[in-house]
Amino acid sequence: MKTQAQLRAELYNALKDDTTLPDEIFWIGKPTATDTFPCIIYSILNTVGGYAFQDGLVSEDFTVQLDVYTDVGADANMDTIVNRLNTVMESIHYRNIGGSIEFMDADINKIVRPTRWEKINV
Amino acid sequence: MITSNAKQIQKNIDKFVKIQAKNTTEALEEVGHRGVGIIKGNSPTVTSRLKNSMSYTIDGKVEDYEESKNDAVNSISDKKTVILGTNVEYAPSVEFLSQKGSKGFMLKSFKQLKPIANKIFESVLGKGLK
Repeated sequence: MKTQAQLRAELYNALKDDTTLPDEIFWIGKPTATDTFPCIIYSILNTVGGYAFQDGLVSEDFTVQLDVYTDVGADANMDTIVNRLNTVMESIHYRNIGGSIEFMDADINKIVRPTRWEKINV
Repeated sequence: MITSNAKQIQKNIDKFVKIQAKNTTEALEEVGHRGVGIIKGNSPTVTSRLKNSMSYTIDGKVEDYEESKNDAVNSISDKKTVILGTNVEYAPSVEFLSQKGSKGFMLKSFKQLKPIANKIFESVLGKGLK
Protein backbone atom coordinates (compact mmCIF):
# COMPACT_ATOMS: atom_id res chain seq x y z
CA MET A 1 0.00 0.00 0.00
CA LYS A 2 1.39 3.40 -0.96
CA THR A 3 1.92 6.26 1.46
CA GLN A 4 0.22 9.59 0.95
CA ALA A 5 3.50 11.11 -0.18
CA GLN A 6 3.94 8.37 -2.79
CA LEU A 7 0.39 8.84 -4.04
CA ARG A 8 0.93 12.56 -4.31
CA ALA A 9 4.17 12.06 -6.24
CA GLU A 10 2.50 9.56 -8.56
CA LEU A 11 -0.30 12.02 -9.26
CA TYR A 12 2.04 14.95 -9.91
CA ASN A 13 4.29 12.90 -12.20
CA ALA A 14 1.32 11.60 -14.20
CA LEU A 15 0.03 15.13 -14.75
CA LYS A 16 3.47 16.52 -15.54
CA ASP A 17 4.42 13.74 -17.95
CA ASP A 18 1.38 14.27 -20.13
CA THR A 19 2.29 16.73 -22.86
CA THR A 20 -1.31 17.69 -23.62
CA LEU A 21 -1.95 19.00 -20.12
CA PRO A 22 -0.64 22.44 -19.05
CA ASP A 23 2.96 22.62 -17.82
CA GLU A 24 1.94 24.70 -14.83
CA ILE A 25 0.89 22.28 -12.10
CA PHE A 26 0.86 23.55 -8.54
CA TRP A 27 0.23 22.13 -5.13
CA ILE A 28 -2.61 23.67 -3.11
CA GLY A 29 -2.30 27.43 -3.40
CA LYS A 30 -4.42 29.89 -5.31
CA PRO A 31 -2.64 30.94 -8.50
CA THR A 32 -2.35 34.65 -7.85
CA ALA A 33 1.44 34.60 -7.99
CA THR A 34 1.62 33.10 -11.44
CA ASP A 35 0.76 34.75 -14.70
CA THR A 36 0.75 31.58 -16.76
CA PHE A 37 -2.56 30.09 -17.75
CA PRO A 38 -3.98 27.55 -18.18
CA CYS A 39 -2.76 25.87 -15.02
CA ILE A 40 -3.82 23.08 -12.68
CA ILE A 41 -3.87 23.33 -8.90
CA TYR A 42 -4.16 20.10 -6.97
CA SER A 43 -4.93 19.42 -3.31
CA ILE A 44 -5.82 16.47 -1.13
CA LEU A 45 -9.28 16.53 0.40
CA ASN A 46 -9.67 15.48 3.99
CA THR A 47 -12.74 13.30 3.59
CA VAL A 48 -11.84 10.76 6.21
CA GLY A 49 -13.38 10.93 9.63
CA GLY A 50 -14.17 8.39 12.27
CA TYR A 51 -17.79 8.54 13.32
CA ALA A 52 -20.12 6.60 15.53
CA PHE A 53 -21.55 3.51 13.80
CA GLN A 54 -18.71 3.33 11.32
CA ASP A 55 -16.69 0.10 11.50
CA GLY A 56 -13.38 1.93 11.67
CA LEU A 57 -11.42 4.78 10.15
CA VAL A 58 -11.08 4.42 6.42
CA SER A 59 -7.34 4.63 5.98
CA GLU A 60 -7.47 3.74 2.30
CA ASP A 61 -9.61 6.66 1.22
CA PHE A 62 -7.60 9.10 -0.91
CA THR A 63 -9.47 11.92 -2.63
CA VAL A 64 -7.93 14.79 -4.56
CA GLN A 65 -9.28 17.95 -6.14
CA LEU A 66 -7.77 19.27 -9.36
CA ASP A 67 -8.72 22.86 -10.21
CA VAL A 68 -8.25 23.79 -13.84
CA TYR A 69 -7.78 27.52 -14.43
CA THR A 70 -8.12 29.07 -17.88
CA ASP A 71 -8.70 32.49 -19.40
CA VAL A 72 -12.26 33.76 -19.63
CA GLY A 73 -13.81 32.68 -22.92
CA ALA A 74 -11.42 29.76 -23.41
CA ASP A 75 -14.19 27.16 -23.06
CA ALA A 76 -12.88 24.87 -25.75
CA ASN A 77 -9.46 24.82 -24.13
CA MET A 78 -11.02 24.07 -20.73
CA ASP A 79 -13.01 21.16 -22.17
CA THR A 80 -9.91 19.77 -23.89
CA ILE A 81 -7.91 19.90 -20.68
CA VAL A 82 -10.65 18.28 -18.58
CA ASN A 83 -11.19 15.52 -21.14
CA ARG A 84 -7.47 14.81 -21.14
CA LEU A 85 -7.49 14.79 -17.33
CA ASN A 86 -10.09 12.01 -17.47
CA THR A 87 -7.72 9.87 -19.50
CA VAL A 88 -4.65 10.59 -17.38
CA MET A 89 -6.39 10.08 -14.04
CA GLU A 90 -8.05 6.86 -15.12
CA SER A 91 -4.67 5.52 -16.22
CA ILE A 92 -3.43 5.85 -12.62
CA HIS A 93 -6.65 4.35 -11.25
CA TYR A 94 -8.71 7.31 -10.14
CA ARG A 95 -12.45 7.63 -10.45
CA ASN A 96 -14.17 10.95 -11.10
CA ILE A 97 -16.64 11.85 -8.36
CA GLY A 98 -19.03 14.78 -8.09
CA GLY A 99 -20.87 16.75 -10.74
CA SER A 100 -19.46 19.37 -13.06
CA ILE A 101 -19.30 22.95 -11.82
CA GLU A 102 -17.49 26.08 -12.93
CA PHE A 103 -16.68 29.37 -11.24
CA MET A 104 -15.45 32.77 -12.26
CA ASP A 105 -12.55 33.84 -10.03
CA ALA A 106 -13.08 37.59 -10.02
CA ASP A 107 -9.79 38.29 -8.22
CA ILE A 108 -7.68 37.10 -11.15
CA ASN A 109 -10.37 37.17 -13.88
CA LYS A 110 -10.06 33.49 -14.72
CA ILE A 111 -12.44 30.57 -15.05
CA VAL A 112 -11.89 27.66 -12.67
CA ARG A 113 -13.40 24.20 -13.00
CA PRO A 114 -12.81 22.01 -9.92
CA THR A 115 -12.75 18.26 -10.53
CA ARG A 116 -12.66 15.58 -7.85
CA TRP A 117 -11.04 12.19 -8.00
CA GLU A 118 -11.05 9.19 -5.71
CA LYS A 119 -8.30 6.58 -5.75
CA ILE A 120 -9.54 3.10 -6.56
CA ASN A 121 -7.93 0.26 -4.60
CA VAL A 122 -5.32 2.19 -2.69
CA MET B 1 -55.11 -31.63 -7.42
CA ILE B 2 -53.25 -28.38 -6.95
CA THR B 3 -55.05 -25.51 -5.33
CA SER B 4 -53.94 -21.98 -4.89
CA ASN B 5 -55.31 -19.08 -3.02
CA ALA B 6 -54.65 -16.21 -5.36
CA LYS B 7 -56.68 -13.76 -3.34
CA GLN B 8 -54.68 -14.42 -0.18
CA ILE B 9 -51.41 -14.15 -2.08
CA GLN B 10 -52.46 -10.80 -3.53
CA LYS B 11 -53.55 -9.62 -0.10
CA ASN B 12 -50.15 -10.53 1.36
CA ILE B 13 -48.32 -8.78 -1.48
CA ASP B 14 -50.40 -5.64 -0.98
CA LYS B 15 -49.65 -5.71 2.74
CA PHE B 16 -45.93 -6.16 2.05
CA VAL B 17 -45.85 -3.24 -0.41
CA LYS B 18 -47.66 -0.99 2.08
CA ILE B 19 -45.28 -1.88 4.92
CA GLN B 20 -42.21 -1.41 2.71
CA ALA B 21 -43.41 2.00 1.54
CA LYS B 22 -43.90 3.12 5.14
CA ASN B 23 -40.53 1.69 6.22
CA THR B 24 -38.74 3.33 3.28
CA THR B 25 -40.10 6.75 4.15
CA GLU B 26 -39.24 6.24 7.80
CA ALA B 27 -35.68 5.17 6.95
CA LEU B 28 -35.19 8.11 4.60
CA GLU B 29 -36.47 10.53 7.25
CA GLU B 30 -33.95 9.19 9.72
CA VAL B 31 -31.12 9.35 7.17
CA GLY B 32 -32.08 12.95 6.43
CA HIS B 33 -32.17 13.92 10.08
CA ARG B 34 -28.84 12.30 10.94
CA GLY B 35 -27.26 13.54 7.74
CA VAL B 36 -28.13 17.13 8.53
CA GLY B 37 -26.58 16.67 11.96
CA ILE B 38 -23.34 15.46 10.37
CA ILE B 39 -23.24 18.25 7.80
CA LYS B 40 -23.85 20.87 10.46
CA GLY B 41 -21.00 19.40 12.48
CA ASN B 42 -18.67 19.76 9.49
CA SER B 43 -19.93 23.14 8.28
CA PRO B 44 -17.61 26.13 8.62
CA THR B 45 -19.05 28.83 10.85
CA VAL B 46 -18.59 32.57 10.52
CA THR B 47 -22.11 34.03 10.70
CA SER B 48 -23.74 30.57 11.00
CA ARG B 49 -26.01 31.31 8.03
CA LEU B 50 -24.60 28.39 6.02
CA LYS B 51 -24.69 25.99 8.95
CA ASN B 52 -28.24 26.94 9.96
CA SER B 53 -29.48 26.54 6.39
CA MET B 54 -28.54 22.84 6.21
CA SER B 55 -31.75 20.84 5.91
CA TYR B 56 -33.35 17.84 4.27
CA THR B 57 -36.47 17.41 2.19
CA ILE B 58 -38.77 14.47 1.55
CA ASP B 59 -42.42 14.17 0.51
CA GLY B 60 -43.03 17.91 0.27
CA LYS B 61 -41.55 18.72 3.67
CA VAL B 62 -38.38 20.62 4.52
CA GLU B 63 -36.94 19.86 7.97
CA ASP B 64 -34.10 20.72 10.35
CA TYR B 65 -33.30 24.17 9.05
CA GLU B 66 -32.91 27.04 11.49
CA GLU B 67 -33.86 30.68 10.87
CA SER B 68 -34.66 31.36 7.22
CA LYS B 69 -36.65 28.86 5.11
CA ASN B 70 -35.43 30.68 1.98
CA ASP B 71 -31.92 29.42 2.75
CA ALA B 72 -33.09 25.83 3.24
CA VAL B 73 -32.98 23.18 0.53
CA ASN B 74 -35.78 23.31 -2.08
CA SER B 75 -38.56 20.87 -1.30
CA ILE B 76 -39.35 17.80 -3.41
CA SER B 77 -42.59 15.87 -3.43
CA ASP B 78 -41.05 12.38 -3.84
CA LYS B 79 -41.62 9.95 -0.94
CA LYS B 80 -38.74 7.73 -2.04
CA THR B 81 -35.99 10.33 -2.21
CA VAL B 82 -34.35 12.43 0.46
CA ILE B 83 -32.20 15.40 -0.48
CA LEU B 84 -29.85 17.05 1.98
CA GLY B 85 -28.30 20.44 1.42
CA THR B 86 -28.74 24.17 1.38
CA ASN B 87 -29.99 26.96 -0.87
CA VAL B 88 -27.42 29.51 0.27
CA GLU B 89 -25.88 31.01 -2.84
CA TYR B 90 -22.24 30.91 -1.70
CA ALA B 91 -22.34 27.28 -0.54
CA PRO B 92 -20.75 25.88 -3.75
CA SER B 93 -17.80 28.23 -3.55
CA VAL B 94 -17.18 27.26 0.09
CA GLU B 95 -17.39 23.56 -0.83
CA PHE B 96 -15.08 23.77 -3.85
CA LEU B 97 -12.85 26.83 -3.47
CA SER B 98 -12.43 27.58 0.22
CA GLN B 99 -8.85 28.37 1.17
CA LYS B 100 -9.54 28.11 4.90
CA GLY B 101 -9.76 24.36 5.31
CA SER B 102 -13.50 24.00 4.62
CA LYS B 103 -13.07 22.69 1.11
CA GLY B 104 -14.86 19.38 0.73
CA PHE B 105 -16.95 19.61 3.89
CA MET B 106 -20.07 18.31 2.11
CA LEU B 107 -18.18 15.42 0.51
CA LYS B 108 -16.70 14.51 3.89
CA SER B 109 -20.19 14.57 5.40
CA PHE B 110 -21.51 12.31 2.66
CA LYS B 111 -18.74 9.78 3.25
CA GLN B 112 -19.45 9.78 6.97
CA LEU B 113 -23.19 9.41 6.39
CA LYS B 114 -22.96 6.52 3.95
CA PRO B 115 -22.27 3.68 6.43
CA ILE B 116 -24.77 5.16 8.87
CA ALA B 117 -27.43 5.23 6.17
CA ASN B 118 -26.71 1.58 5.36
CA LYS B 119 -27.23 0.59 8.97
CA ILE B 120 -30.45 2.59 9.22
CA PHE B 121 -31.88 0.86 6.17
CA GLU B 122 -30.81 -2.54 7.47
CA SER B 123 -32.64 -2.02 10.73
CA VAL B 124 -35.74 -0.20 9.50
CA LEU B 125 -36.65 -1.97 6.27
CA GLY B 126 -37.29 -5.32 7.92
CA LYS B 127 -39.73 -3.96 10.49
CA GLY B 128 -43.25 -5.40 10.51
CA LEU B 129 -42.43 -8.26 8.17
CA LYS B 130 -42.61 -11.94 9.13
